[in-house]
Amino acid sequence: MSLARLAEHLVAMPDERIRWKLVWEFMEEYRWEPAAVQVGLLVDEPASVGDERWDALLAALSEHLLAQHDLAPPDWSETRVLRKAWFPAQLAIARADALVRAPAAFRKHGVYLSAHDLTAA
Amino acid sequence: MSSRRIRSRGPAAVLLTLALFGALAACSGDQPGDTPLPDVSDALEGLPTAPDPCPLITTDEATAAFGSPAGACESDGDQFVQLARIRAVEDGRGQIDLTISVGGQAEFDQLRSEAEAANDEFRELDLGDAAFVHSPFSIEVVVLKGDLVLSVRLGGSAFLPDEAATISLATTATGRLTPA
Repeated sequence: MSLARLAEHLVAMPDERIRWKLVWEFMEEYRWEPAAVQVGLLVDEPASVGDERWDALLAALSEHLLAQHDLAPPDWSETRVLRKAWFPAQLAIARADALVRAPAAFRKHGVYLSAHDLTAA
Repeated sequence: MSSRRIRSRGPAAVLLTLALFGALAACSGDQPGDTPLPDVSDALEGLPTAPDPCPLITTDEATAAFGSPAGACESDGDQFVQLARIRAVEDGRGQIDLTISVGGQAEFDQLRSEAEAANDEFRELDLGDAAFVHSPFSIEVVVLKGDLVLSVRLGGSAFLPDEAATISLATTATGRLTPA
C-alpha cells in the first residue's frame, strides 16, 4: 500500500481508531517491501484527508521513512506543518513518552508520536 | 561553558523515569490489566510550561537572516510544546521555525542521538547547557537550557540557509530564553 492509497483509506474511515489501524497496517506492509519498492510508496503526494493533523502525519511519515534511505523529503510534505503540536496519545504517560521520543521528522511537522509506537506497529 | 557539563535533574528527568516505568509496566506480565499504569498527573502538573517562542527573535533579526523583509511571528501551543514561525514576506524566501518543549535532558539526548546517527553534518555547539547543529535539508540548532529544549530551524523553498546565520539566531534566542 502506498502513502497515497493510505490517504484514500483514511478519507473513507473517519473513525480515528480505525485510522490508526490503517496506519499500522501501512507500516507493517512497508516493512516487508524491498528497499527499492519502499521509496516508491512514499513519494507520490497523498490527497488531503480533510484533517490537517492527518495530512501532517502522512508528511511526517514520508519524511521519516525517506530519511532512512538518506533521501530528502518530497516537496509536497514541506507545507504540511501544524501550527499547534498534536499529541495523538490520550494517556498522560503516553504523551510524556511522545514528548521525549518523537522522531525529528515528526516534530518538524508538529506531530508528537513516540518512536516506540512506530516500531511497535 | 561546556556543552557536555553535568546538570541537575529537573522535572523532565522525573517525567522520563515515569514514562519508562509506565512502558515497562505495560510490557510486563501476561496480564497487563493487573499492573496499573502509575498516575503521572502530579508529575505532569509539575513540569514547566513551554513559553511563547516569538519574543526570542525580532522581525529585524529575521529580516537580516533572510536578506529580505520578514513577516510577523505566529505561534501556538500547549503546556508541553510551543511552535512559532516567521516567514519572509515574499514566498519561499526564508522561514524560521522555533520550537520550545519541556522534555529537558531526556528529550535533548534523544534528539542528539538521532541527529548524530543520521550523520547529517552534526556538530556540537557551546551554547546553553548543551547544543548541536545539523543539516537535515534545512539547518537546525537544538539547545538545552534548564528543562527547556529550543529548536531553531532556518529554511525555505527558494532560500539557501546559512549555518552561521542559523547559529547566530539560536545564540540570540538562547540568550533571551528564561529557563523554567
